[in-house]
Amino acid sequence: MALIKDGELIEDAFVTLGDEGVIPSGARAVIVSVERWQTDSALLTKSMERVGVLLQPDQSPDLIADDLDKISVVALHFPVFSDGRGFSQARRLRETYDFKGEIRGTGHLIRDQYLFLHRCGFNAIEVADDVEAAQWKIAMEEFSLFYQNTVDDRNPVMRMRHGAS
Amino acid sequence: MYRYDEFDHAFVAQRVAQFQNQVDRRLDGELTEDEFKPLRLMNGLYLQLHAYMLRVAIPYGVLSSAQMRQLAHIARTYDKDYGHFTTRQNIQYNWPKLKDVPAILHDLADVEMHAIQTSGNCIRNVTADPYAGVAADEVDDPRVYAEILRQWSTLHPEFAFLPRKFKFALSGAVEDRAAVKLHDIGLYIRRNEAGEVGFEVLVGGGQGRTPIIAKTICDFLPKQHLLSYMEAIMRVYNEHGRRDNKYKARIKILLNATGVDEFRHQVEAQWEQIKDRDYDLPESEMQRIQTYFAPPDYDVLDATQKSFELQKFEDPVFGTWVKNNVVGHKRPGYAVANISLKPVGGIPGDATSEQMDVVADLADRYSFGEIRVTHRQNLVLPDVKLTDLFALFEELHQYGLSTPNHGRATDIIACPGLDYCSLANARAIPVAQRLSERLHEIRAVHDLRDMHLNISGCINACGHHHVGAIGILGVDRRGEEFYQITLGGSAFEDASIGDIIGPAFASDDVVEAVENIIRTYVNNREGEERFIDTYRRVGLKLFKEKLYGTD
Repeated sequence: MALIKDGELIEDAFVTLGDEGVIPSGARAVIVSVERWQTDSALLTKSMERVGVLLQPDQSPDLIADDLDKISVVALHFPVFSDGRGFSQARRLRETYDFKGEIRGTGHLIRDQYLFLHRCGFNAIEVADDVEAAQWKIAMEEFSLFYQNTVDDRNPVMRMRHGAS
Repeated sequence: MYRYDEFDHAFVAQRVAQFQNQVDRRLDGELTEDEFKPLRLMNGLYLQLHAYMLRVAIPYGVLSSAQMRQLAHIARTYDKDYGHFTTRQNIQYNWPKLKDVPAILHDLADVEMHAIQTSGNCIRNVTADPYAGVAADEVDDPRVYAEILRQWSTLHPEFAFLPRKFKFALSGAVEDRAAVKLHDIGLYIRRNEAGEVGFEVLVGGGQGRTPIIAKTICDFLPKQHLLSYMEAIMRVYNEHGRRDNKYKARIKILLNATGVDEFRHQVEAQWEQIKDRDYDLPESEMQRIQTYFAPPDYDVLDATQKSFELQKFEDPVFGTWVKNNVVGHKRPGYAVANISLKPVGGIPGDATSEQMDVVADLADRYSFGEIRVTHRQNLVLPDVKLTDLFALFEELHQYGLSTPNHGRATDIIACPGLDYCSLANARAIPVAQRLSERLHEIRAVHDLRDMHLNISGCINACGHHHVGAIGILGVDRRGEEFYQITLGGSAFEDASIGDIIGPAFASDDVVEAVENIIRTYVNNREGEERFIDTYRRVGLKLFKEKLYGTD
């Protein structure tokens, strides 16, 4: 899988592990399930340069709240693009826990969602290798005006109206 | 009324360009219908039985005359010369061609309108009291807060993929004319003891296959916290609402499963996290929006106008129309005029292009250029001088718009039903038409107030049958259309869900059944009692015996 990060297609440095599988030799960065993180976190943080944790949509960010300083990436899984729980999970990670690391979307996402994802705190999306990053970038730039204040740094209309830039 | 500023204009233009691109991708074959579906549904474009249907939002039911003319223009140019006003203060066009939809959205944008979020699992058009700003019984003007919610919910990035659709309604008056308790979130504007404005927040109302009256989770939310508190509710719903079964996905199911106290606790825990994060509107922005809803330039008039009294006396047809369709206004010498879109034997909520143009002209001449659309599928001119009512009436009469049946038995709500809708089990429109014709023939029925007849063509209840004084639900019985009747529903502040009276009726027998029910009511009412009050007093049993016999 490739990764779109901040609008550019890049190679993914992380390997996503199953709950049982061994860590491939040479891997420096892995993403594991919450369950595996809860059993192996000590080992993983010692042997890996960076560790990410994958949350399913029914798994609350609260589960990893105390560990976020050891976690570089939180991956939020979308079983189908219309399951919007990940949008709230991402915002809670940024708002409640002030998580500064990477939040990536995995699973079934469509480019028309990119802007919404970004506004909710996602900064990376896992995509198929042949995806055209340019099209995702276009989807991100279709709007320049926003009616809500969220966790991104886009200036909402309600502030622009009153002179805040 | 609210007017777009440069930001609103630019935003809607961006949305139109985005949708133009999506339609082009579909017409080129780059997108399959399956891929296009979620995109068009975010823009109110449905695929119905015979054609695409475009649903256009009329935010909180407020229209300017220029907007109404544009709606007429769209019907004339891209559709079959009519539009259908819905139970959610929207208008639907039943026959647009896909290739024309971007042009329609362009035309809408020219008059500050759009179709954003009129479908899909997102926050839909925010609805409100159609008498907002003119009602004599109003605490505060709900349009201000409805506009704030409209902007906030527009392309809200976190809540575009909810478990299911989500509907807001607001009322600032004592009488609830917005069916607030039948919405996912209902807001009643209240004043606390200190005289400050806030909201009673109700959650989890709705119709469909599981009709439920909303429950209050907050007695008084100070107005400055409106948006952060709404975000907290939406987030709890987005995270915990069921996604495994679309029939159990609305917030009403979550609220019932969680319990009101636990749900409130979850919302407040979430709210604590975000209430100081600057998600609420600054006071300056609230004031900016408020200025758009300043009262128009009313003349100072006497509450009684001799010429008006004389006209009512001399022309009894006018007198009847005034008695039934005209209601009091907060300013002396002015009135609120209801324009019925329920002509006898007509299709509830339909208006021709010509009628829309006529109403726009009349609004310009007699009502400061403003029109309201009601959830009962009628129109309102909110600011008419008593002395202008006669001229208004005469012109409405020429165009089939003077039916004096506001709140009467022939003021029937009906969904499009199987004539248009792919979800329907049975037709609703022909039943409404037959009922209207028959009930019109019975003189005694004309004077019955609050005689609400609501018809839905399927359990999704777009025709609000659960909350009709008499509700009619179309069901499919082995390929035949049958109609189940409920009694005792109310969409008002005393909201209640109707009770099923008994076995369903074949299409040919529905009219007679309704007549029988109304006769039982008339024979048992005390004084001027409304249907709902008689029903609550005497109970279902009597109506049932009279309808089915005692055996």
